[in-house]
Amino acid sequence: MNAIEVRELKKSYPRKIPLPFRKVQWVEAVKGISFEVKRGELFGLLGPNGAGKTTTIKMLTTLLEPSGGTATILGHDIRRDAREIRKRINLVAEGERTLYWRLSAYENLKYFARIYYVPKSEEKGRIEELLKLVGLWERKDDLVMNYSRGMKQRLATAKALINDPEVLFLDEPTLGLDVQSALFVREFIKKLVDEQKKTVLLTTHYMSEAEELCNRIAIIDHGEIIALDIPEGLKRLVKGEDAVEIKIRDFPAVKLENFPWKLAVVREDTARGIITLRGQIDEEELPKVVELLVKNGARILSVEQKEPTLEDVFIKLTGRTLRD
Amino acid sequence: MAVTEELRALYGVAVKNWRIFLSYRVWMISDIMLGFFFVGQALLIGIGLTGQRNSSALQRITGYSDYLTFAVLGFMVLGFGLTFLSGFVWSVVDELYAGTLEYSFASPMRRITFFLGNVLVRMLLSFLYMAVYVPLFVLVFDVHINPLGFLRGLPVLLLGTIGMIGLGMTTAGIVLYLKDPGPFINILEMLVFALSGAMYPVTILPKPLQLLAKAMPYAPTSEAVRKVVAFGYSNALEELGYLLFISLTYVIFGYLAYRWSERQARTVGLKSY
Repeated sequence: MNAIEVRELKKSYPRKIPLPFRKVQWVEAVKGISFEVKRGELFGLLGPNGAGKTTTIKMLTTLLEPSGGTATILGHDIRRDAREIRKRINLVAEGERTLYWRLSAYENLKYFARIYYVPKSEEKGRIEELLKLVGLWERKDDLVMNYSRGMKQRLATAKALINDPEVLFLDEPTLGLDVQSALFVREFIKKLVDEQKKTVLLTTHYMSEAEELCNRIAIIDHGEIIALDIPEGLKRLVKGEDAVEIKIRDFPAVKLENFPWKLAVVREDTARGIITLRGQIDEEELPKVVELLVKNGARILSVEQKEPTLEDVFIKLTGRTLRD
Repeated sequence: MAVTEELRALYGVAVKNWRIFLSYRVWMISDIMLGFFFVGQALLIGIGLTGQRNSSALQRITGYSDYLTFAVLGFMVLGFGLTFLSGFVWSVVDELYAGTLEYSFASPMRRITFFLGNVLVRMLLSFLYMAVYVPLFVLVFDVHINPLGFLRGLPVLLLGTIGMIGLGMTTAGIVLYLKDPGPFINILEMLVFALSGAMYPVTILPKPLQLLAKAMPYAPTSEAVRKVVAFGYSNALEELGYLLFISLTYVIFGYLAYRWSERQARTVGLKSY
């Protein structure tokens, strides 16, 4: 049995609050996605902001009612068995305001232990173990409001383990963290899967994070899964095609829409008017690309060949970068 | 087992709220002062308008001649009743604004447990405030409260509580559905205050407002409590019958309204959802 099975899952949101006699337009945020996650697998949903990743997680964690399709978690239907599912899963939601800032780390975990039905006999030991695991035991009595963003995220991760869940949902777990904290969280996630055999569904828009952590990755864009494979498999989509980075000045990126090649802006130095374009361009085509850029007023600063990454896969499939 | 788990969750919510409340120490002082000034103003307005504390007009309408005793009883019913409205509503709003509601709602704990945990803390606070107010009112304003009469009114207050819980659930449902619930709650609280019959008998209100006051559980509770305290149960059967009817109606309606609203909120993706 798979830990997660998703079939043609859909979610639409209204543009305005539906009221009697009000005609409301609905926007489809998730358009019939299907995938499954094996037990003990670390599965990634990779996509830009607004791709439908968080909506998918909210449906799977029973916080949102799907508009269509089905999904099961550990064999339980997300519509019918919401409470049973909630006992066996947990999540780290996006953003830092998910914990009680006016309580200490210890008090936060105590609260969550109680609402997740952790037996009283296990509560104290579990909290201590988790706080030690995330390196916050020494600061357990400090108010969360005095924690750094990285520490808050570590505490949120500890909270997500309070009920010893079989499946863990992590929504952008390293978003906005400094390098060191992000590294800690990534290492921690790896340990959860390798040592504790947890099933993890992770969303991210950091391609390197998805590549480093995930056994399999589904690339999601505009509510649809546009590719799903192991990281190497996804990169095979751009194998043999050279990734090229072109650094240029004095070129409005909107002009790229008229170019016959899929080139995306991967970096922007607005102060100096420099942008870096990236795309799969083969050797024969490269002079033509450069020529067209120059014709459109661009000043070429450098042209470099790069190893293909998941970002190139995304650019190839959508013509945009993950940051767009 | 399931009951024990839920009770522990209830305790967890209550302890969490209590600790958070204590972290805002000045709020407790301002809450207590607010009640004190409320009654103080009632006394001053009464004396300012009639030139005396006892009113024959009030005696004719309600059976109470001492306006202050009338207002203190009304204030206590209102203060107690508002704990349910605020327990249900502000618990959602505060956590929505803080961003923490989603984490609590993602747990297996029942939603009603979450609300009741909030209500418990507010009730405890309400009792604490009363323990401060009553001796103060007696000492400063010379309010005459008969302890036996007071105890006699308690079961009536509990009956009214059922309706107040229903209204709280209805409002919590609406709050889940609204984009910015703050102004709605402020208006509702003002309306509850104006129509509660705490400061004046609702019979002096214009007819449409009287109907509205009768349609909410606060004024019927205040009226029934006052009547039972002053004249006993046998003389308050009409008020008690109506209170029973409105309490049951509200609790059924509140439950259904909340269920519907929660489902709607999960469907349309509002707020934390």
